[in-house]
Amino acid sequence: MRRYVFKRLLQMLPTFLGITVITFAIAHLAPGDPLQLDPESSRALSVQVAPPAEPLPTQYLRWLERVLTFDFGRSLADQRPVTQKLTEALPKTLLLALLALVVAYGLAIPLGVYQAARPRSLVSRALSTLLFVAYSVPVFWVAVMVLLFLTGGRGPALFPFEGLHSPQSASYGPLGYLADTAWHLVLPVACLSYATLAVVSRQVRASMTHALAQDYVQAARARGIGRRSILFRHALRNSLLPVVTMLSFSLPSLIGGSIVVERAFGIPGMGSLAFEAIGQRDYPVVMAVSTLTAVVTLLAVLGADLLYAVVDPRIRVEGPSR
Amino acid sequence: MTPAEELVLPWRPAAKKGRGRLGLACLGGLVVTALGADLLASDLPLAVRVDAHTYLLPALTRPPQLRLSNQGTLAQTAEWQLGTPIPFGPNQTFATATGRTDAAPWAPDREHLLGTDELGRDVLARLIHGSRASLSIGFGAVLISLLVGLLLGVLAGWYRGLVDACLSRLTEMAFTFPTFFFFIALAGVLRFTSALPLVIGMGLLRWPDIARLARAETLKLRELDFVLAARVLGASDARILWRHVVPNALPPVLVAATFGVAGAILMECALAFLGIGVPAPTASWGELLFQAQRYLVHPGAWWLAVFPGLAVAGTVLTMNLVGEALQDLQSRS
Repeated sequence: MRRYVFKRLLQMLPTFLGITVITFAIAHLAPGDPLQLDPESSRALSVQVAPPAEPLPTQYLRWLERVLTFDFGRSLADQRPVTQKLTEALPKTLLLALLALVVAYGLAIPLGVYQAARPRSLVSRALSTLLFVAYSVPVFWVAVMVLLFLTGGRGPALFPFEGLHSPQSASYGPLGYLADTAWHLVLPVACLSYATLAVVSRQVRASMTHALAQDYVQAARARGIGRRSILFRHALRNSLLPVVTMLSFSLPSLIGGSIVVERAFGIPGMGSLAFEAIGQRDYPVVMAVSTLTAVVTLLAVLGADLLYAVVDPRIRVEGPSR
Repeated sequence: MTPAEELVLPWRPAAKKGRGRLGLACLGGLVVTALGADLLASDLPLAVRVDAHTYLLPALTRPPQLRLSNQGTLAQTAEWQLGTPIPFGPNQTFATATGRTDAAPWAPDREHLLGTDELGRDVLARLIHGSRASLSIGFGAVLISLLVGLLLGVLAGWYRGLVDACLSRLTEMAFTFPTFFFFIALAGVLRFTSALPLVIGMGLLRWPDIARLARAETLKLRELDFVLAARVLGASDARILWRHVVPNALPPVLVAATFGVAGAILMECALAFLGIGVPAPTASWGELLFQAQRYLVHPGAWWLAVFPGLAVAGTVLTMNLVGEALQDLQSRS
C-alpha cells in the first residue's frame, strides 16, 4: 500500500509542475497590469515581480520556489498577503464542495438501490426520468431560478438572497449562528449537488441491477436470506466499486461548479476570489488560486484513487493498469 | 445483457428506444432551426412587393433598398408581403408592428410570444438565432476534442510504455486544470472578438474523456487477431492504426462525444453567465442568460431568465437522449 501511495504521488509531480507552468505562462502573457487600473499599487509591483530584465524561466523558478513554501506574495489590489486571502476563501469553497459531495452520494446510493430493487415501480420510473432531466439542466440557470422564485423576488422569501451569514449573525449565539449558516447553505449546496446526484444514482442503479442478476445473489436467495440482507450486504457491497471510481470525476467538477454557484449566491470563496482578481489584473492572486485549485483537485483525485485501492485489494497489488 | 438481467428489466429496451427516437427528432428540429434561423425570425419578410419591385427572400439577400425597412413598416407601404413566422430580427430594437411606446422590456403577449429584453428585442427571435452560436460552439468544440483525444488516446494505447506515461500525465493535467480559471484568464488575454477562441479553448480542454476511452479501446484492440493479421501482411503502424484500430475504437468514442456536445453547450452558457462569451450583439443562449441576471434584483422580467434556460436544458436533454440511445445500441450489439 505504501508503495502504491508513493508511486501515485510521484506520478502527480509532473502534472503539478505542468499546471504551474501553464498558470505562470497565462499570467505573464496577459496584457495590461494593475498599474493601468490603479497607480497606487506601483510600489507593491516593484516589490513583487522580479525585474523584467530577468528571463521568464528564471522568474518562473523563483516563483515556484516561493510557492513551495506557501509564499504567494502580496495582492496587488490591496497589498494583503495572498496566503491570508486564500485562507479566508478556501474553507468556504471546500465546505460547499464537500457538503455537496456528501449530499449527492448520501442521496444517490439509497435512490439507486431503490430503483434497482423495484425497477418496474412507478416511483422508480418517475425518479429515473426526473434524474435524467436534472442531469441536463444547467446549474447556473437553476441557481437563477431558485434566486428568482424562492428568495422573495417573485414568490415567497423562503431562503436568503446571498452570502453565508446574515448581517447580524454574530449576535445569534453559537447554535443560532450554525442554524443561520445552514439556512444560507441550503440553496447553494442543492444547486451544486443535484447534477452529481443524478450521475451517481444512475451508476448505482446500473451496477446494482447488474449485481442483482448475478448467480451469487440467486444462491443467496435460494438459501433463504432476507431481501434486505441480499440488497445491502451482498449486492450493494459489490456494486460500490464503480461508484467509488466516480469520486475522482465528481470532485473536479464540483470544485469547478462551485465557481458558478459562488458567483450566483454571492459567497466569497475561491471562485469569487479568482473572478475579482482577474478583473483587477491581480496576478499574484490569480496564480495562487489556480495553483491551489489544481493542487486540491489533484489531492482529491489521489484520495479517490486510494479509497479505490482500499475497497479493491487487486489495485494495491498491481497498480491500476490493464 | 444476461438472461437474468433481461428478466429484471423487461420494460427498459422499449422505453429507451422511444427516448432515443424522441432525442433524434428533437436534434433534427434543432439543426433545422439553427440552419433556417433567418427564415424563421427576421426583420425582413420572405417575399415582398414594394415600389413596383418584387423582392424574393429579402430575409436572406438583404437588398440595400430595404435597408431601412422592416416587416412593421413594410406592412404600411408594400402592395403585399409574405412574412416570416416570427416577424422580428434578433437584433431589431423596439421591434413592434403595433407602434407601442411603453417602456421595454415588454412581457410575453400575442405580439412577442416570449417577451422582449430592455432594448425591445424579441426573445424568441434571439433564441432562434442564438441556437446557431450555441450549437456550433458545442459541435465545434467536440470536433476538436475528438481529433485531439482520438489521436493521443490511440497513440498512448498503441505504443504504451513511455509514450503512454507522458500522454497519461498530459491527460491528467488537462483533467485537473481549473477550466473556468483558464477561460477567465484567456478572455483577459485575448479579448474575444469571435466565438473561435472559445471553441478552440473548449476543444483543447475537453479531450481527456475521449482520450481515456480511445486508449482503453486501443489496448483491447491491439491484442486481437485482425490486428495481428494486418501486421503479418506487412502493414505499417500508421496503416494499422488508421484503417483498423481507429474505425473500431470509434463507436464508444462517439457516444462520449455526443455527451460531450451537451457538456460543451452547458459550458458555453456557464462561461457566458460569468461574462465570458461570444461578443455582443451576437445572440447566444448563454449571453441571453447573462443579460437576464440584471433582472434578478428587480425581477419584473422573469421571462428573460426562464426561456433561454429552458432552451439550453432542452438541447442538453436532447443530446443526452441521443447519447444514451447510441450507448444502448452498442451494448446490445
